[in-house]
Amino acid sequence: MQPKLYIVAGPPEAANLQFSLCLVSAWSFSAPTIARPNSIGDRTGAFLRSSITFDQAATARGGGFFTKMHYLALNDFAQHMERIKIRADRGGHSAPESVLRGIYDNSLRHLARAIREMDGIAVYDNGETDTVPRVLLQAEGGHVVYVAERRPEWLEQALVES
Amino acid sequence: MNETPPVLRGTLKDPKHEPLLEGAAERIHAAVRELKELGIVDEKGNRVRTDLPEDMKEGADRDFGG
Repeated sequence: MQPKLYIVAGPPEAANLQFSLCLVSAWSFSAPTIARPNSIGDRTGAFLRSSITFDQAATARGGGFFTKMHYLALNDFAQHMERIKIRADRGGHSAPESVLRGIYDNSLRHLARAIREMDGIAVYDNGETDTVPRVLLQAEGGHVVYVAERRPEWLEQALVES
Repeated sequence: MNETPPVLRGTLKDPKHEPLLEGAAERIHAAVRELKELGIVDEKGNRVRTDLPEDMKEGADRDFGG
């Protein structure tokens, strides 16, 4: 079986806390976090790292790993801010808006590159509360195989501005 | 490196099954229920408090390193 490298990425608090798919922390795109293997079904060969870069992902591919990214974002930056406040209320760490804005912009700026470079990627809209994230886009080997007809502005912008 | 943005056109009408989403609904519902029980969010999932957390005030030495 080909080993798999799962990466969960997105702007701050897009997938964490009550909206989590996996029990991972917060992510900037420069340092997305790998999902814990047991949170995605104990797949043989999946592994965990605290952070990873594009270069590291490329190295993993070169080493025979299939790299799959799950990228989640909310409706807009303001919604990310609100969820980070909720995280803070619950005792989690947070940061000033200026810091978070930089992470947010960087994350979206790198999305197109991730679509091109990952073996597989699924992009989700996680803006609805208490609802399973909606698949917006799927790509395999750098080619888009599915894209939702109704998609948020951030996705359009992230791809146009890349 | 090819810097051309991916074309927003897929070949599939519906998304492929994502195993990651299996069981996600239950985990999400449980987490939201916990936040409501803690009084952190209201019934609609909105934050109850209106203040800015200390770590989010400009000048706070926080980097949100995850």
